[in-house]
Amino acid sequence: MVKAPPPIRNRIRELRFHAAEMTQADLASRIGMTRQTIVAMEQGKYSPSLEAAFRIAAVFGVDIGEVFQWDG
Amino acid sequence: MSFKEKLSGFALVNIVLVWGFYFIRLAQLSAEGTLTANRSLWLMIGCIVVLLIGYIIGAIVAARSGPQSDILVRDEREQAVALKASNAAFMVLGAVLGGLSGFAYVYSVKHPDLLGAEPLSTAALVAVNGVVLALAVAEAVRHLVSVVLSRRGR
Repeated sequence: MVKAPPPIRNRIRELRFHAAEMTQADLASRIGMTRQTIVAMEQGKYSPSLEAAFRIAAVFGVDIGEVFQWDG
Repeated sequence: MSFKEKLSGFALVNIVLVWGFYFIRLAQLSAEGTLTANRSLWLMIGCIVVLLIGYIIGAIVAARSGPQSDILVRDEREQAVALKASNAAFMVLGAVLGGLSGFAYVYSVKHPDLLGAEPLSTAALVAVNGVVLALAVAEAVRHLVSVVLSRRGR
């Protein structure tokens, strides 16, 4: 039985593009994660913890709501 | 693939190959009627040595084939994956040990002559190898679940 993906959308890929095409590896190293976790987030397969979500928002210098949106 | 995912993949292949060989060889020796406690012990020691060497080689290959920063990172998704994999392995370990206990009980009732032979009774041999089987299966499941969940995203 495959678990449904969490109903949370994110704009990480778009924000990376606007942040001088920041790489997944670069973002991962800035927030203390692996590149594979960034890939999983961008594909909507994984929703980060609140702490990680705040860190991601801080890297892009935006509010957390501009990165993650509830899609339920 | 991340470092931990590669490590789990290598460990899974290592466990399946080494313990697969061990139990097939044990069954062959048993069928030939040449299985002794001494042979079983040395076969097990040899397999454990090969397993350890395989782990070390796997860790070196996994470490060299990706960014070094991945090795030290405490990634929350990987920690969640490891926890789920350990839970699955624990359930399998309990089920296999429980099943073996039941099997051993029924087997000893049907074949009481197997108990008490010296120096190492057949029952003890079966029990020891049963525990090794349970541990090997549980570890294989832990790594398998880890690889599958990592591939799925979590």
